[in-house]
Amino acid sequence: MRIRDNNKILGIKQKAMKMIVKEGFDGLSMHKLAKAAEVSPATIYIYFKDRDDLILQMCIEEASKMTAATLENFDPDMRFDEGLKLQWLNRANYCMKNPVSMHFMEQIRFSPFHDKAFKMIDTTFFSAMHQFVTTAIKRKELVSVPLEVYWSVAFAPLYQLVKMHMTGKSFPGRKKFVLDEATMNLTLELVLKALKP
Amino acid sequence: MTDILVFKTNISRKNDLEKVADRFYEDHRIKQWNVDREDIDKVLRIEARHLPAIEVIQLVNEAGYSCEELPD
Repeated sequence: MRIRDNNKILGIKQKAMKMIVKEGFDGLSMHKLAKAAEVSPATIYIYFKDRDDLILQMCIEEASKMTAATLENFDPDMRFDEGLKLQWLNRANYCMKNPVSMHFMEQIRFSPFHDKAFKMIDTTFFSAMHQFVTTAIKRKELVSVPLEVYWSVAFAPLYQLVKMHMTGKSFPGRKKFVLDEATMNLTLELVLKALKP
Repeated sequence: MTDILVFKTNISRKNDLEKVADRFYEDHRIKQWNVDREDIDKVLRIEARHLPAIEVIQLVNEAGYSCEELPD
């Protein structure tokens, strides 16, 4: 009888994530993964049905971790500027502490795995975000715009800065970019201004 | 408690899959199974209760395919 070895599973997932980040989905084969994780292919198949099952399970796990981190100390009844600031901090912290996970989530974003995984995770995150936005609109703290527009203004600037911070690169000829609190607050102020009704 | 058994096979086409499926459906010890046809070893993975590996090998061989247990 085989006993479930959680350390082994963790090791397999970590290696798989690195391979996907480095070489894309096509770069991940069960055999290459077995070699990299120093286990037999059979061991991987004990825990995962096939490659798609492995990727989906990783997506679900990472999405759950990311959404839980975003909701830390967050209350959907917060004032809009306060709540958005907390989310910026939570999201930035999570990305900086988990660079491989961030790249992985970016890679799956436009793949079929993303939709499937987000359908399977806990709905707390989505209902909290929904409540936060609708309450802010009602209180006239936030403009009412389509979700895509809201997200692109509210969060895309943050993720762009985080990316520049993590690569250390912004533009040719510029010195190493560091996202400090002052820079974050400056950007957040502009975003809040744009989102005011 | 369900056991998971893993084998290397040459089940590579949909047609091959149907042939082994016919054998597996008859065995009620098999709870779930799949073949990863994208893998070079065409890995057959079976979730079953009290099913010895040798019997799986026999079933697959009878359907006309090779089958050997993958070592852990």
